[in-house]
Amino acid sequence: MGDTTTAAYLAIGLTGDHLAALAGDPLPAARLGTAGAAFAVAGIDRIDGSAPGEATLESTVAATFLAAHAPGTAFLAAAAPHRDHPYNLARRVASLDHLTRGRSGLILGVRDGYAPADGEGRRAWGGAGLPGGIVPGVETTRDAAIAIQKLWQSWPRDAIIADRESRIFARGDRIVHIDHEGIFTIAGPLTVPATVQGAPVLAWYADSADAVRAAGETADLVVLAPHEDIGAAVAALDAAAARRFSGDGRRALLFAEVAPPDGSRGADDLAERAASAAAHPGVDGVLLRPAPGGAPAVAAFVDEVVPRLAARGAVRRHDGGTLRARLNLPGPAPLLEGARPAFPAPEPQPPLAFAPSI
Amino acid sequence: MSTSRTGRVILGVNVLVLGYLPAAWQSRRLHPESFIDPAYWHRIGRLAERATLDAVFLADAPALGDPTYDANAGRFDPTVVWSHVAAATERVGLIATASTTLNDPFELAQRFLSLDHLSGGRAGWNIVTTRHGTAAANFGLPEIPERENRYARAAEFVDLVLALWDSARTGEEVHHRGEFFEFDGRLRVPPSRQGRPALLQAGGSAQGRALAGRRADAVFAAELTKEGAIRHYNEVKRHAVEAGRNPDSVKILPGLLVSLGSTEEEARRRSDELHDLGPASYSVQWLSQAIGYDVSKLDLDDRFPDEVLAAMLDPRHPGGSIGFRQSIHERIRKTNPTIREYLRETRYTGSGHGGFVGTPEQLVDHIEDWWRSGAVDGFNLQPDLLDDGLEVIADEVVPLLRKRGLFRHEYETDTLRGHLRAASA
Repeated sequence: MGDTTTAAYLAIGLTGDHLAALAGDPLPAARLGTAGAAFAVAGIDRIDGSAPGEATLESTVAATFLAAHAPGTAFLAAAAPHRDHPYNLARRVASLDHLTRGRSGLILGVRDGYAPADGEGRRAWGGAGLPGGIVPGVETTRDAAIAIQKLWQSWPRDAIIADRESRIFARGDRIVHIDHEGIFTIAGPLTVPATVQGAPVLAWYADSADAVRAAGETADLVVLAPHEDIGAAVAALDAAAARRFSGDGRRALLFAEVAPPDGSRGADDLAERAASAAAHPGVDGVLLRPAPGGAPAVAAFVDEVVPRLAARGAVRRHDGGTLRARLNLPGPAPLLEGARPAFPAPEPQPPLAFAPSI
Repeated sequence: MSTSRTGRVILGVNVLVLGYLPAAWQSRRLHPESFIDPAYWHRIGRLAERATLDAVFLADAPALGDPTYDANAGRFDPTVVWSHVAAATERVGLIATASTTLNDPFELAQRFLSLDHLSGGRAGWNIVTTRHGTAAANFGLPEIPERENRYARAAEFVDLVLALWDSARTGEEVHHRGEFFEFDGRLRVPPSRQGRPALLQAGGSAQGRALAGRRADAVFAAELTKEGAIRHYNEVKRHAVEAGRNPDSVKILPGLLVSLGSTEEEARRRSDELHDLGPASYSVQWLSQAIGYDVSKLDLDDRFPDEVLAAMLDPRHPGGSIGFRQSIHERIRKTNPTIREYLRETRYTGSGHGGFVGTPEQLVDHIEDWWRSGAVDGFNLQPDLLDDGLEVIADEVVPLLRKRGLFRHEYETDTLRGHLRAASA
């Protein structure tokens, strides 16, 4: 997909200190929309393998709050199935996607850097009944990614009929269990219907060859850590297209993260390297982080880095709408054909002897 | 009845999505996707703030109930939807229910303190242990652990969450070794304007009330009779004193199902209509689920058999919340109705939670009576249909309460805990 256009998408990676600052003073968040970015990642430092920063916010609640203040910006909430269970995560991101009218997604990592490190006897997922615990890793994230995408399809939106005549709200028999049995065992269905864009976008922050491979088989979009080799990732994603768990044969979109400038070299250097990554064959987008420093750093990024990228013709602006529409991503391939209905078929209710006044 | 009580009533609204009756979605004021419409939730938050309510409240379980006849089965995650409402409001408290059985304490502590930070200190956590087996199946559990075990875990869970919230303020690591959790680390979320989220407790079991007295800022109780309410009120306040707390530091806020009309007759008609629009089996199914006995097997013109009544009070008997069962038992014992009579009567008086059908003036009389009697510190109102019910609360009920000196004219405090504390000043 990446080689059909000359310019790449722009994505912005917000770290914990950006989230905490913008939540305290959300007005600068609205400026994110003027950057023309396809999306912003809420809490990217949570899943990039770095040591925790001084402050952060949980990604799904932060993204929901900031999205309400930045109606032009799409958000990916960063999380790992580490101390967060896939059912809870799927539900929160689907809620976020409804509340932003389809401008949202989830970006998974293998570990949550803010969660305490696990070791002997420590439980990754601390829900009841799992004394052995689940060990974080590429395979755990892969399993969570699959379960989450099934949950997002478990309640088809058109099962809602809201027919006042028969007084049936939804075709309960069209809502299905996912009966997922992998590293996680999850019956489903989810508590909310499918979202307006079909399903939230599922992304993966990949910082190893194993992660790139697994992400290529399960995610809509991969953000590649700056230290990883772009050419190798392109080849791995191309090869993974035939092994997609959904069978859709698509190649995941590739966003290359561009490392922040070190010290004296400033916005020009960053823009130059971003333009170079964007021009790499097979790259669909670049992800850049504002410098540390809260809301002023976000404003400086929008004012200084973004115009330099535009001047180089390195990034393309999106046309708004849902996140899938912005990224030219089709709706998700159906994952639950033939699944077990969750509820019995509706029975029309007895006719009324009165005309409703409500 | 004591008439000398000072302070004011606390008022919240339990947002049962569209309204507590399953037919709520049929209102002409709503569209098929109102329950997932960001504009709907925005409006609910703004209306609650127009009424200067202390808080909006969301119940929760991480599992889907059958939405065939009831849009209220569809539920956003409460912390996420309140983050959306936080952006549209400034003062109203935002209380989210979350399970100690089906969450991780670190993740939950981080998420609630985040909501508290971004809302400027308006978050509350309603602590539940979750008793639905369908929720267990979403988390790889064959069944929900039994009550004793759930509450033992809940007590340790809450202690750990409180320690983590402290760690966000002090920067000092938590080192926890317990029966359920081992933990070394700290939270890195900025503390909120109220320091940490307020704690609420909703279970009516003996363990639940003890936990509330020890830890909670407020209790979301279930009361059908004033006598029962006074007894439970005193029980929780006694637990608070035994834990070395000021009894005023834990507020008792029973749920109250409300159908309002400009006359009592109009209110009854509205309630009847909403019941008749719902699935025919709604009341029988609700009662069966609550008491853990299939009521449809009984002759509706018989009185409740003794063994059914006895099982209601037995914590080992399966069924709904112990608090609901106690309040239902209390109501049946009082008038000894047939099952049909009970189901009809509870249209107007509530089942589990108390109910009220009448005019705004009569509702204000009821609130004042229970508050002056020392049965409650306030109510968590549950309108039959939220969209217009909340308008009537804002435009008629609250102004009447203000006229009687029972409610504030505008917000005087910024945070949820600030609202709760100021009520007993």
